Amino acid sequence: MERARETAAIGVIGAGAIARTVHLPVLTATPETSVAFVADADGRRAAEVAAAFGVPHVPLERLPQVLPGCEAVLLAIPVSVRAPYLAMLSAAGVTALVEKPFARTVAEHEAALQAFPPHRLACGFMRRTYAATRLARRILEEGWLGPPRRLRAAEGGRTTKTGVDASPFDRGTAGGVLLDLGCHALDLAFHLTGARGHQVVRAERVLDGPVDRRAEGEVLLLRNGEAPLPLQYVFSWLDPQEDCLEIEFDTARLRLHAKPERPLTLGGKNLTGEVPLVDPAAGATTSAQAFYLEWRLVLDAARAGTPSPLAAASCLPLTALLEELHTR
Amino acid sequence: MRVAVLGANGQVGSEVCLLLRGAPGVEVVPICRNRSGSAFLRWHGLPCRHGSVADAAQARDLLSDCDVVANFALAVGRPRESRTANALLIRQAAEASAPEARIAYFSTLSVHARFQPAGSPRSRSAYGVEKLRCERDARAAAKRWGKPTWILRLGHVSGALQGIHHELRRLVLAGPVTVPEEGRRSSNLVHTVTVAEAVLRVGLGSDPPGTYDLLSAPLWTWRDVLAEEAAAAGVPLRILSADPAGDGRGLLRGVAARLLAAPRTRELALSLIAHLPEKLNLEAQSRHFRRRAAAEIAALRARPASHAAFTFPALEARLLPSLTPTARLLEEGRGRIAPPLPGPIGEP
Repeated sequence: MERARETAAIGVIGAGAIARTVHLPVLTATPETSVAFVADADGRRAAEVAAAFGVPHVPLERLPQVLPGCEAVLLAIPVSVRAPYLAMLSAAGVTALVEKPFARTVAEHEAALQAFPPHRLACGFMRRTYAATRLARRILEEGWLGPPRRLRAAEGGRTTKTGVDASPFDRGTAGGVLLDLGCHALDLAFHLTGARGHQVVRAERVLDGPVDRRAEGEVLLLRNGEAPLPLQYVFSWLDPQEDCLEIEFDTARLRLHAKPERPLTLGGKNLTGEVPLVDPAAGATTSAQAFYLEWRLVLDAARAGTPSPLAAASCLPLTALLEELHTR
Repeated sequence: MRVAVLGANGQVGSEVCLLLRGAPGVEVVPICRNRSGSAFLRWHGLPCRHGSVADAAQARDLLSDCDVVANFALAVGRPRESRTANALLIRQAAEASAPEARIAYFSTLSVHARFQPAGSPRSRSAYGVEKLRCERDARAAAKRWGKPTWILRLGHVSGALQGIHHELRRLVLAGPVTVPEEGRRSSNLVHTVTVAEAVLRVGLGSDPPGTYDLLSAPLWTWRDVLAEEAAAAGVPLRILSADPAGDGRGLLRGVAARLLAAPRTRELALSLIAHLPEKLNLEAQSRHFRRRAAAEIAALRARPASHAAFTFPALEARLLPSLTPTARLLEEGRGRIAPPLPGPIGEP
């Protein structure tokens, strides 16, 4: 039997959909973690959600008192209001797992990085823990199919998820489909290829006030000592997309799907029909597994003092790309 | 010392024959029923005797000049047929061998009901039951014909010609290998080099006759086994800890869970819940999310072992005290098999 892990006390700031439907179920489902508190700007909502999970609720003003009792804190609140909480967590020496997107600008991202040691600040890009992602990364790192030639990302549908609480973007904050949805596939593009920079070739957005509802374009992913890699993208809340990230090689293509249960698929470059590549031991094949692995990576890294694969520093190139796409 | 090997065309018997060939002062006599069975050993340049030990007259011709009879044979066929054949082989080995001959009967750890992979019912397999019966026959024959007999129970047998060796090699090459308890559990594995040495120990009478477990000495953990494979393959060993599934639900709870998960029940429950206060709705939904997360995390953690052999329980082993440490035998190269001879297969 594997040695029992020490129980980590986790604080949850933000009692919205992502905390309620995924993080709290995962954190309360395993003896490896316990929930120290739930806090939210909407105190009543926090109290109700905390009661539903049988965990404590604290008002925001009491955070300074309860933070020292936590090993890590989830920050699941809109990106625009995170700064004071990050400062509080930094001062308390607590590890922070921040929901995506991590930041709106490079300056905002770098300010957060400076406030934490690299192993204590992570961003919840949970798709990195998917079994399909891990297998695809291995295929790319080990060059099973030769060098990648082109990436295509396409995600979205006619509406956003209707089960999600009101999007902060609908309250008039800048952002939209790129920050909320597109960031996942774009993050995977950086994560899988090891790109550390970008060059925008083309960027178009369909705006609804300040909110982008559709974004389409092409960027070049810049990698150390290797040819730039073209990435075409479409993210939309207006029209259905294929919901996958495709990586094209000279004679084959890999497809990563947005859902964790969908396996990585391999197809010939110009052929129809694909075969699944399955390594269930590689990582998560459900959402709960993905968030569980996310927490394990974050806690293990914090305990070991080494940055996790989800370290916030690793998604700085993504923030730079998103910032440019929003300002063009 | 002349050593007759029954079941010499079997997986273990054939490798032991090849290993015994290199032992000083030993003449190994593989016994096969036909030339088809002996072809592999003859290809390796090992002369074989052909005939049926089950036949009394032939058994005397085959065995009467041998000092040791190592019986690896296991008759196959319909249960009754194989049972009769096994009993006959055991009896003839004792009756037809030289008056001073010593008998090594190779049994299996499967005679223990516990010796099963995880998830299997804790009851003896038909193979284990048959081998246990053979052990009784071997003891009875030893008593009747006054032949000192060693019953040696084999665990998983590894060696150059053994299937498990190739499977483990593939696993360490592909790595990481998922093993319960990170490989700290005793492996119940015996290397053929130790099996060959046990035959010699029987011939020398180094240990008193009796029933022993024949495992690599001192006992190897799975980590030891895999480390040796990795070293031989020239790759680093990477081990992950397997987490057994362990549903943990009782029968009634399992049935209840299945009923509740049925689509019709779910639809009914959802329509009833809609009449309850919002607070209760939130609690019910939260409970559902938590249960689902727990089940999915459990499924993730139930990382299956890379090989079923890793999941067998460690048994209290009674080893032959005189055995040389297996690691030393392997270091000395005594587990190596010489390549087959070029040209046509030799006679007889």
